[in-house]
Amino acid sequence: MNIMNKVMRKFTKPASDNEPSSYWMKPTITIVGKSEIRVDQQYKLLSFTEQEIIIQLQSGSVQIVGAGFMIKMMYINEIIIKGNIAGIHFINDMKGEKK
Amino acid sequence: MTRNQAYKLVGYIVFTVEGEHVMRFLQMCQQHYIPIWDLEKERLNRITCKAYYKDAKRLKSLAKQMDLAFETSIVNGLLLRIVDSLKKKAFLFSFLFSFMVLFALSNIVWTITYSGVPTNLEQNLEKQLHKHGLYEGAFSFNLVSLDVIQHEILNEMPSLLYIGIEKKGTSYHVAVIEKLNEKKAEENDTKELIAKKSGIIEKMYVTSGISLVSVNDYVKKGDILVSGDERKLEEDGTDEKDVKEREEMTVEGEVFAQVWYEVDVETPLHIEESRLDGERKDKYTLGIGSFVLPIPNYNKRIFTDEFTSVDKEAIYFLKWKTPIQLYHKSIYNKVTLESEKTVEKRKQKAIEVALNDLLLKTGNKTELNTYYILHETVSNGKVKLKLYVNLIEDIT
Repeated sequence: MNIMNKVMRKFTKPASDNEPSSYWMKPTITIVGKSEIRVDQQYKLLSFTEQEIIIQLQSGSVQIVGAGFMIKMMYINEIIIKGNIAGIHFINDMKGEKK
Repeated sequence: MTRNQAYKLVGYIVFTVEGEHVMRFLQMCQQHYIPIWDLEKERLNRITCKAYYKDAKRLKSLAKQMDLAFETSIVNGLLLRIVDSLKKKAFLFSFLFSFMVLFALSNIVWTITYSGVPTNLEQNLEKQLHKHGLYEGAFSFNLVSLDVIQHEILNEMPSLLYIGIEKKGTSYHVAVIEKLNEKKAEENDTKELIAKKSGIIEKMYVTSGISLVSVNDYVKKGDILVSGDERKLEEDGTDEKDVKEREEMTVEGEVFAQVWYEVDVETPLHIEESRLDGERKDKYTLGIGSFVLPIPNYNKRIFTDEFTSVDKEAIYFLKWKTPIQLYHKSIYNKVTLESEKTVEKRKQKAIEVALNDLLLKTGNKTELNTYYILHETVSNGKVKLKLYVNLIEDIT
């Protein structure tokens, strides 16, 4: 099984190996149509239901609302969410405001 | 996204986690660099998702730390399936067995094709090849080297000028050239017979051509003995057309002459002779490059003196030559005989050997006429002789 683990490790190298530069420390949020949203940055998943997902980023939080949400992929610095996106709210934690 | 495309190859699990701290579990997965995907929330505190098979143990331990119920529903992946299959003895056995059968079949002589073999020789050639182990259905492991077979068949069938045996995968191709064709081609070109050595002519057999010398004539090396050219006799010339016709005549014949040789012979009085007494043991080894794996042999006979010959046989899988080679080592028992004979006996033996050697070199039609010992000495345990040998040989 040791050989197998070595082979698997090659394919499943963690994303943390590629440390982001200061430019990439800023969050990148990509929305594809109304069904997919991708967040590239260090994040923390705060809440996950079929109707709402809240992700905390370094500069604040993002609230995604809609229906039928599922997490397509979840890595250390990357998350892809699928579902019917109804709205995205940026929450500034310092002031507690919704934008 | 490309990072987890290989999950179907390396193996993945589909698992369910249930409990109060499901969100905390997901955060911990992220912190521990455990990638997960296709995450769905089934109920309030129950999620289903996929992860790599290699992370299964860490996921289980994380779930256990947080008092969560962890359940693996599907384990899949090509490598996992292969590993699982290899664990099944029946599968492994059938795989190895079929491989061995295929390997054995690829080392069997399936067909032998012939080219250039005259019908009158075909049956005899097949018989000879069979005698040397080359026949349809034979194991190629048991075959001796093809060079040896070729050499032996050429000796056994004197009517063959050439035989070439070529291995092409599991089939062998035998190409043959008969001697007769070669002989005819050579003979047709001869226009005159020239003396290759100086000597006194003893006898002549001229079947075609005009003889320029007669018996008891002394000829020098390079002299023309028999000619197909009429001008050699009619130097004045009579009719130009007639001469041209005779020029094209080919010659055939044998001219035997007395030829003298000086031979120096030297032989020791004390000699050691070794011979093989027929006792033999075989050793087989498998080799890959410089690595050699000996195959155990139960013949433990020990010979005091040995003579070893090694045959190398390439091993084929289907039509491909594998890097594995089978070495067949034949070890013969060698017996050494020491003897010291009288000067007279050694002298006779030396003369016999020298004459035989000379006759062998000069051809099979040569006869020994006479010989004289010009000089003989015995010094440093050796007998030295100078012989003057008279042979009757074909000088054309």
